[in-house]
Amino acid sequence: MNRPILIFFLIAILILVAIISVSIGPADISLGELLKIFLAKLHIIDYKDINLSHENIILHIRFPRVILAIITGMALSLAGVVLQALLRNPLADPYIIGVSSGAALGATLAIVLGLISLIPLAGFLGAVLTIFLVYNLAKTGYKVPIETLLLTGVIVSVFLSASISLIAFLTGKSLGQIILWLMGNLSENNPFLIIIAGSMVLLGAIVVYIFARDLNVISIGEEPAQHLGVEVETVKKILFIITSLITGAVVALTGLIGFVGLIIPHIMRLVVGPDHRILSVASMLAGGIFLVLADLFARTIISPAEIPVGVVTALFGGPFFLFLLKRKKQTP
Amino acid sequence: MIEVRNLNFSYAAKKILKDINFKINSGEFVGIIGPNGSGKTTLLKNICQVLKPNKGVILIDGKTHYKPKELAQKLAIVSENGPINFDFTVSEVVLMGRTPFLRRFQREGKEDIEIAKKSMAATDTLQFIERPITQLSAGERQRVFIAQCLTQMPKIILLDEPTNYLDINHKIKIFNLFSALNKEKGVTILSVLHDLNLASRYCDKLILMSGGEIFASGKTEDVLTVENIQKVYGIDVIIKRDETTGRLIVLY
Repeated sequence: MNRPILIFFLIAILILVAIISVSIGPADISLGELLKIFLAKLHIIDYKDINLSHENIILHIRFPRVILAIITGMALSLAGVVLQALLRNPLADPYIIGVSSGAALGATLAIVLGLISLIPLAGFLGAVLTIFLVYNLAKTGYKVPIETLLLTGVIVSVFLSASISLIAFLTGKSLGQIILWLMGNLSENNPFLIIIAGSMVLLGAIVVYIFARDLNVISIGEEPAQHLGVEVETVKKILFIITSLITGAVVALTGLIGFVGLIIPHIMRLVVGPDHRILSVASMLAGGIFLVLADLFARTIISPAEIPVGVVTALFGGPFFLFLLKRKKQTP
Repeated sequence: MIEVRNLNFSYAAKKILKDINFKINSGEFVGIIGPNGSGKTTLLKNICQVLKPNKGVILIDGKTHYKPKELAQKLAIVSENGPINFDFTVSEVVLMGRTPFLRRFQREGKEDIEIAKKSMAATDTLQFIERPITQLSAGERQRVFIAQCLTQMPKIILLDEPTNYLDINHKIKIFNLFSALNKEKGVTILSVLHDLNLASRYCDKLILMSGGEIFASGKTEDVLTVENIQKVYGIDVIIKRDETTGRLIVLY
């Protein structure tokens, strides 16, 4: 398919699922009423006939939630695309070099200390410190060999996860809250935090796009990329930091939502091919669409209660991934 | 022109290259021969700036240091490739050879695509232009990377056993191609070779390496002797002259 048409098509679907998702929930709000609420908010029409509790639900619960789902889906998919290329491993995901466990440890500490409002900040700091640690441990001379980075990331993750278990075990009473955080959810509705995370993801996407062609060559191999004049170590450094920051930013708000960053890049690679100039953009849009739908499912299936969205993505993602793997084996 | 002065290189504590000195003039076709582990590949990697010398300098056209992109506009290398996990098409991989000439957001133009097509025709890879690189055999893939190298339109080509996986037909075709580039376009070629007869057939000069040092270098006829081969490889050979081409043949 023609590239601009495909992108346009994905944007249209994203907007459509976002609108549908905002309109669905325990409180029965029609599409017409939804439109009125937004128009009133933008001062285009008058506030009369607007149900204030409905307005509250739309503007302070459902709308931020859908936006956060889009941002998170985009960030995780983008980070997945980039890390799979840098590590030259289609099985890599945004959590593989330890960002997630760092964020989880930060959030866990905030929870056990009773500093609930500081969870996002603690999570983000945890993520950043972990990247810093992993990166410097893996560095040998002026190079960062990917094998070392991968192994260091995995080991640091294991260590941090064990620390989380230890803290949870020792404190006992916050256990439920910690586990809930780890499962991932999209209920954070602080507009300030969402805007910060959204801006970081947008900036990150621009940086990735700047290096998209370099990423193509690096995904063939680091030496071939060097032979073609790509400054491999510099590009790697910048992109590792960028992907870690955007992953950290969303994980700090949502907890661990798995499989999005693994599966979406895979599916989009099947659809648009491995050229990162299109793959990165298409994956972001598809990631947004996927997470909005997954969250819609998570909060409607046993409504008015909800299941953590991370559980939904993993429940769908796991089997789907196996299906892809099987299919890939059959085609020679 | 490539000039190597007093080059020394080691991986950690292991010395790989010791006091290497040589000069290759523009338009020469030079072979590097020598047993496994004698430092041939490491030497190439030092020349193309993938590895940094511990001591000594390497001048390319009189300059010691190039920005990666600048060097890639001048020099290309065909070497052993690792596994590829992403389904780039053959044409995408060959077009990557234009990378050094494109600005950051510039798309490949008609001219770039023309160059890539010509390179594919020359390496007999046009037939699988739209196939994913991951589905090709080792020999087919090797030819795709040779096409990528040609697409770079380099003045200097470094080859590390470029015909490793190729059948005898493609082996000769590829070397004839490099030979033509060398004779007609004046491209300088420096190639690591294991097959002494290929070396004899195509190279004007040879560098014979042994244990990280240059054992002998000079005109192919002078380097390829029974004594040199006995000393470096430890085997006895018979060297004859091919009446039709006038080149030496090594029998073992």
